[in-house]
Amino acid sequence: MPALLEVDDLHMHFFTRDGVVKAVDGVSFTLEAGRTLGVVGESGSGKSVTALSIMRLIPEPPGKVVSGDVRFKGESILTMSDKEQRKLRGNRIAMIFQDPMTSLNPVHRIGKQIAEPLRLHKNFTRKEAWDAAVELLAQVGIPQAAERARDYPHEFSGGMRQRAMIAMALACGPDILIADEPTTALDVTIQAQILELMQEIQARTESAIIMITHDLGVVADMADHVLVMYAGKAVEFGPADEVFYRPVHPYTWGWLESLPRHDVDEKGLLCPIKGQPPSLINLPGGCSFGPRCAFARDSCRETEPHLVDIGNGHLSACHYCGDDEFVAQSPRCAAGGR
Amino acid sequence: MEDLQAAEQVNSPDGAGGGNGDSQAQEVGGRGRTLRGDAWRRLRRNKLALAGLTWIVIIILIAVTADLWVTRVLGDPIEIDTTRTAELSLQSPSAHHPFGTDKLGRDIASRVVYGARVSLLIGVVAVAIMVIIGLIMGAIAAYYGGIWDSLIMRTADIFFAFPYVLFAIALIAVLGKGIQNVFIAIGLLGWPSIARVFRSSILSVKETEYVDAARAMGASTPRILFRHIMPNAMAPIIVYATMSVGGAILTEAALSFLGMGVVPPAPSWGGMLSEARGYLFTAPWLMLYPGIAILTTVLAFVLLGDGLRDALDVKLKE
Amino acid sequence: MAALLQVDGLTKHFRVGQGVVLSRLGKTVKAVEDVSFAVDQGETLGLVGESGCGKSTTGRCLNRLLEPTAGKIHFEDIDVRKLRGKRLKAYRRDVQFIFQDPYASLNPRMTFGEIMAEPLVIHGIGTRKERQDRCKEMLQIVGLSPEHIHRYPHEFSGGQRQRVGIARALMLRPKMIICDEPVSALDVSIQAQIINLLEELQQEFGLTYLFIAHDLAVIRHICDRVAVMYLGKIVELGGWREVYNTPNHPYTQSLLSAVPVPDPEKQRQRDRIILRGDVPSPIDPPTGCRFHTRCPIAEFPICSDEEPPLQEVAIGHRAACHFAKAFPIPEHRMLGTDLFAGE
Repeated sequence: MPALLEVDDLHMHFFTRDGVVKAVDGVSFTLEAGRTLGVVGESGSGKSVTALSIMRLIPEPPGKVVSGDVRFKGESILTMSDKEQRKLRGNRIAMIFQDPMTSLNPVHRIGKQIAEPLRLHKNFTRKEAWDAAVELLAQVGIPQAAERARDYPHEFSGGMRQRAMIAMALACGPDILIADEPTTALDVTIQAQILELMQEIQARTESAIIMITHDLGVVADMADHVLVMYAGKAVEFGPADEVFYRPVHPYTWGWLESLPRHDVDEKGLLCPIKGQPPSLINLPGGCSFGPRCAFARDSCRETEPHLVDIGNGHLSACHYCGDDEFVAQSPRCAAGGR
Repeated sequence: MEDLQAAEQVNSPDGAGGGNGDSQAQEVGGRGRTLRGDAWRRLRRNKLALAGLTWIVIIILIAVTADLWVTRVLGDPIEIDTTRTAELSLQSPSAHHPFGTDKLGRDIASRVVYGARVSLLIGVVAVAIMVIIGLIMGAIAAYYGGIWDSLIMRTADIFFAFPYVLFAIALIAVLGKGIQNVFIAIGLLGWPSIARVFRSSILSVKETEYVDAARAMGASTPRILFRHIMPNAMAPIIVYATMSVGGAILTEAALSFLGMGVVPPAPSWGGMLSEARGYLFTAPWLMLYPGIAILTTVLAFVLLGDGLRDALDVKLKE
Repeated sequence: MAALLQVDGLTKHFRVGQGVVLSRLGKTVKAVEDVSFAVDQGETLGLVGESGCGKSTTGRCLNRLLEPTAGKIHFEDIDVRKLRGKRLKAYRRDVQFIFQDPYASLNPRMTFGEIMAEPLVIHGIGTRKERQDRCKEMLQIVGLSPEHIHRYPHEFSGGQRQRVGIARALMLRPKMIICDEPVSALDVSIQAQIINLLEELQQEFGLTYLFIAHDLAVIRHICDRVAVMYLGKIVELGGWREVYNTPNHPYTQSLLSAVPVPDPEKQRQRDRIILRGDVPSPIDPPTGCRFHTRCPIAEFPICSDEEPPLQEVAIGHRAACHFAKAFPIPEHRMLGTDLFAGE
């Protein structure tokens, strides 16, 4: 039986006046029902563009899927007609965005916005949709839902707006919920509420979640599987425990090591990854992470690595990830870097 | 799209900021790429704006060099050969008179060229007056705020309440006709718009962190105003002023059409249109050429202003 | 030994409402209320809290970017609030500021050289050549190439711009730097570089930092002492070990438990304290203890009637909770184990 969602070597490029921006340059993963996939990367890594590509929300031009495929329940999304894609969006695959203030329409009442997908996809009448919207608001933890549904977005706080967005996304009972940095703009205590809410919903509805974030803590909390992205490419993929406790890609090492520790008593300098993320128009030859990699060798400059399966459902795009000696190199650094 | 834009401000009032665009650091070798250089490059790409700019340059050249060649090539714009008036008048366009002649036998092309001088002069001077007054008023209103802000802005509102052309006519009626009074009138009526634009520009720059940084260093108020606020607040003014030149030319044409502007026999595009009134079907060239002159010149300024707005507006790298 | 900076009862209220008339009738935002703390020479004090807690406002009051409504600020025993003119300017040489947004804190129309030289120009230090030399030197110290003196901010990334922001703050050789979320707007892989830079500079120049941030992990790493703020008040103040390992105030405990750590096993085991509801508005803060509306252990009527003072619960560790003295916290009051995933 095919996976719920399959992304197969996706390449999405933007053709601009200044050159070709290879925003997504080789991403593959699978997603099963009831599971959470955490997609982590810094800005420019291509994680948002990947999500938007799945929803076919990237304007084409200037964007274009150069190669690869995205399959939902075995059927290719990329070859669907516009009409069929629209039937998926908001219905079977729903998305929550980062900034709830700009993703909610300020001139419509909250209730109406939540009701919209129901009217669109399930042909509810206005009354039925409104009642369902109130019910959804209550389910996402908004007190006095019936009255609050009549409010406008600016009357809600950030956390509440995000809950409203989640309610809107859940309206049609989607199979997949894509959350693009849903808690980045929220305070930590509110973030905890939202993450708990999402986990609760997942337990209840068995929907799959793709959680896109730059916060490894959030991923450790939510994700069953982790996809690490760098400069548009998938560099590591696997079950959360594998990626966090047995990472094999130098970027993952570098990232985990550069974080301030939460548990050590002695404080020394941090171990940052040297250098800066590359420009997506002028990617370095060979491995994109090569110039910043503390373990790079000659072949890293020459050939581009591809995702390789190293067992336990763990994949990595590094020439040496299968080499036990290489992997055993301790990522602990001797002195802090600048 | 977050992944494409190098500078995303994730500074929402709700708190936590996120990882941010560090990824597109393009280091250009050699001399710094100035903001002005970047803006010029963007402007060059805008074909319409370039066309406008080119046309303006052409008009300026023609107008400025007019004395050197127009009277010889095309004929005098003002002198009437009273002996040959009947013969010369209302001739349709020909090799000798490319735009034809008017009812007094004067060459229209020559009058259009001299009219350009008037229009450009009024455009530039009127806008200069309105900009100077507007900048001062806008700066006071924005920087001092409070009662000054209210006073100046409410005065501006009063100006806005009047129909512009009517107000201009009334002002000319008081001041008298003539070219100086035209640009005084236009300047006096135009400052509120500039003041408003400048004020809001200053207000937004005033809140920026680099102004805070200057204060945190101990910078004095004048230094902050001239070194930090002004240069960054000017961009919308440049755009607005450019487009206002077009507007001023149009207003002058209207005033002259009504006989309230430039005094005949000095040529002016509006005046020429007025003279063409009775001859619309019999001698259409009387109206056609001045009309086209007004249209193209005003359009050129508006297109240039539009292009400048796009070129100057993008503060971030694309 | 007297502290370098002493703050007592600092209060800042903002009027809400536009225009001459409305602002007189409008409400006040009580952004900072009766905040007191001290910073010793050479240490790093962290101010941590969520949005609206008043940490940034506090920072800005300290160097008079904002004028405090009430309270005392003493720097090296000088009353900062009374400073005017030249003496205020001299104060600004000693206390500098690093801003959060590297894209907005540098004037886009000035070159890096001009930006960094500006403090020297304002204070009349050095000749043109000397200033330029100092700028080049400073660029190198912060890890950039001295040639960048002639370049403009928009040609550089956020991390590089922030380095220049830091360099600018150092130009006058200040004694203390107020860092307002200096790494929040940066990419994760760059944050570590900048944090290291700040620490190295502190060593090299003997600086004192007031470090304002919302990221608890960064604060834990860089700070010697930590003050936790909520709705304009300090709710807990103490050494980093005390605050992170044995947090006393229920808000601190909730905050620490809410931060996810990059360790899946730990996350599965942790007890999370989820606070209900949203942060109340600072226009109308709750009576008594400002945290009582969300507090899991609030008792009435004491928590809603009386404001708890910031009291000692251990040496150098204070918390503002009516139940603070009952420390170590008895079992039935302990909100959860393994709060910040430390042992």
